[in-house]
Amino acid sequence: MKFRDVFAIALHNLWNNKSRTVLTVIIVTVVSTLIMALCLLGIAFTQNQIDVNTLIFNQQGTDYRAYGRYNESGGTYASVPYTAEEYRHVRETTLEYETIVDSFAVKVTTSLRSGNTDTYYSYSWAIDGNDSLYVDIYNTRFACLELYNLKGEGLVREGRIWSPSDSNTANVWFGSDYVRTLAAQGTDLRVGDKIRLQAVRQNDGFGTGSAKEVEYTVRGIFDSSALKTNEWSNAPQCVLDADYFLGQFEGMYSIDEFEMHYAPPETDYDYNAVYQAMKDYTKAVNAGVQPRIDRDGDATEVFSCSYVDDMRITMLMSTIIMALVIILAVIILLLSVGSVANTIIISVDKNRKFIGLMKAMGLNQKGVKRIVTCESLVQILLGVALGIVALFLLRPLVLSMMSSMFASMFAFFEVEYTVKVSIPLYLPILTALMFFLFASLFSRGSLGKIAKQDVISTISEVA
Amino acid sequence: MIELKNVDKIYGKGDGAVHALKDVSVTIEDGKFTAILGKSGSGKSTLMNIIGALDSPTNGTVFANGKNLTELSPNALAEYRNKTTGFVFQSFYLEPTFSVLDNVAMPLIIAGVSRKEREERAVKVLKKLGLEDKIHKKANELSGGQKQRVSIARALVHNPEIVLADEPTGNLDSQNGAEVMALLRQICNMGKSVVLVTHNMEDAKNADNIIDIKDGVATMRKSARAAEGAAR
Repeated sequence: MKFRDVFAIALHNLWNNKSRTVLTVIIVTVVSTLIMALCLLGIAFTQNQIDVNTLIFNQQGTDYRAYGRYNESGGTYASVPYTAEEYRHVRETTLEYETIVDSFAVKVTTSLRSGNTDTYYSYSWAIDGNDSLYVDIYNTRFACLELYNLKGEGLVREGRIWSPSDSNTANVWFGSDYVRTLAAQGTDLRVGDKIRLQAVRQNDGFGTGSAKEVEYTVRGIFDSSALKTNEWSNAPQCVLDADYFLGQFEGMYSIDEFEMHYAPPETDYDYNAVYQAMKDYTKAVNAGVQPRIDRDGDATEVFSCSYVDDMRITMLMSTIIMALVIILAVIILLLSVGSVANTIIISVDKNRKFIGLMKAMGLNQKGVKRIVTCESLVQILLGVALGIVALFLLRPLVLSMMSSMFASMFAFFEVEYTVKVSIPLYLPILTALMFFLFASLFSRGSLGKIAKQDVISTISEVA
Repeated sequence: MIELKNVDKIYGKGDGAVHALKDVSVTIEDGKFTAILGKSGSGKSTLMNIIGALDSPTNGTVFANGKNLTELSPNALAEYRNKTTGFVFQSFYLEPTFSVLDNVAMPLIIAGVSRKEREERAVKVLKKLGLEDKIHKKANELSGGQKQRVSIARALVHNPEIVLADEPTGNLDSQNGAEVMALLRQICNMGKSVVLVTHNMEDAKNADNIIDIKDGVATMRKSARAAEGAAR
C-alpha cells in the first residue's frame, strides 16, 4: 500500500470520528504547549545565561586569581604565602599563555616572621631625600612588567607606558589620582623624579631603623581608573616591577595573592579556543601551586578563572534546570499520554469494521499498523502544531519572566542585555516524537490485538 | 482449483465446543459456479471463509492451485486474498463515505496500484456493470441493488481467480436478486470460479456444482444444470 493511500485512509478514519479526533488533538495541544513552554523556559534560561556570561566576558574580560592561601588545621587558619618556586612556576606558565593574559600582578604582604613574633613592615617613598610619601600597599600593583600591558598609550597621562624591557628595573609609575592628591598636599611629583623606597620596621617608627632602602625612578603617570578591575575595589595608584621588588627586599615581603586579567579583542577572536586556553591555563598553574587544605584535610585548587568558574556554575545550573524540566515534562507526558493513547485506541476500535473489510480484501497486519500509526501521528502532529501557535502566543509571557529574572541576576555587572527567547526547531519535533513514542507504547498492546485479530471475528462483529 | 481435504472447524473448547465443519473434503473447480447450499447454522459460511482464506481449519488441509494455504503466514494469506479472491457480502460492506469509485478501487489501493491505473480499472468494471453514472456518488446514496453491484465490481476489479459470494441476494428484492445472480453467472462465464453461499435452492440452480451442507457435513454433487449440459 502506498504511503499516500495510507495517509488518505488515515485522514478518512479520523474524519469519520471527528469528535474523538478533536478531543485527542485538544489534549495533545494543551499538553504539548505545557511541555514546550516548560522546556522553552529551561532552554531560554540556559542560553541567556550563557549569552550574558559571554557578553560580560566580551565587555569586561576575566580575572584569574589565586587568593591568600589559608590552610585550616585544628580549627585555626594559618596563612601560607606563595613560595618563590611557586611564583616562578606561575610566572613561567603565564608566559606560556600570554595570549590570554593581559596583566599579571602579585599582592604582597609586609608581615615577616622573626622567631615567634610577627614583625610588621611598611614602606614609604622619599622624593629627592626630602619629602616622604606613604603609599598604601593595597593600592600598589606589583606587576610582572613583561606581562603587564596597558592597552593603549593614551592611558598614560605623562611619561611613557611600561614595556617588557622595564622588567627587573627600578622604575615606578604612579596613578593620576594619587599624583593629584599629593599636589593638593603640596608635593609635586614629576616624571623623572628619583625616589627611594624604604622598608621600615613598624615598631621602630618611621624614618628610623630602616631595614632596606632602594632608589626608584618615576617613569610615568597613568590614568588611575585604567587599571581598575572587578576584583580590586580601588584603582591601583602605583605600579612597579614585582621581580625587582621581590629581589631587592628578599625575605621581607611575602607573596599573598596572584591576580591576572584578560580582556578579549573587540572582534575576530576564536571564543572556543580562548575558553579552552583559559581552562588549560588555570589547570597548568594549579599543577605547580600547592592547594589550600581545609579542616578535613581536603585539598582545594587555589588558582581559578572567573569566567571559567561562571561558566561552570552556569552549566551546572543549566543541567539542574534542564534535568528538572525534563523530569517535569516526562511526568506531564506520562500523565496525559494515557488519555491520548485511549482516544487513539477508541478511534481505531470505531474503525474496526473498515479495518476488517480491508483485511478481507488483503490488507496485512503491517498495513493495519501503518494506518493506525499514521492516524495517531496526524493527531499528534496537528496537536503539536497548534501547541506551537499557543507557544508563540505565550512567548511574551516567557520573555517578560526571563527579563525580570535576568535583570536582577546580572544587575551587578552593569551590562545592557536584551533577553532572547527563540523556539528551537528541535523542540516541537522532539515533543511530537516523545508524544508519538509514549502514545505508541501505551496503545501498543491494544492496537496489536486489533491488527492481529482474524478477519472473521472482525467481519462477524461487524455483521 | 481449490481442494479441501478432511477439513474440520471447531469453535471453542471443551463442552462448549462447536463442530462447524466435520471432515469436509470438497473441490472447487476452476471456472465453475459452485453453490454451497445449506440452512442457517449448517456451516456454509464457515466453509466459504476457509475456501477464501478468511479463516483457517482446525484440522485438514486446503490446497489452492497446489499451494497449501494452511501452511501460509498471516501476511502471505493476506496477499493470497488480495491477489486471488474477491468477496461479495450479504451486507455489501461498502464504506459509506467513500465514492463508488474509491470503494471499487479498494483492493487495488491495498495492492499498491497507482491511482491512475486503479481508477482506469475501476471505471472499466463499473461500466461493465452499468454503474458508470454512479462513479462519483457516495456509497450511501445508492439503492440496495446498486450497492450489491458495486460490491461485485469491487470483487472483480483486481481480476481474481475466484469470487466468493456470501448470500449476495439476502438483502435484495427478487428483481435485484435475479440481476445479481445473472451477474455472477456472467462472471463464471468469463472463466472465473464463483462460489455462492446460499440457503435458497433457486439460486443454487444457477450453479454447476452444489455442495450440500448439513450440521457441518458436506457432500458434493453436480447440479441439474450441469447434468443437462453434460447430456447435451
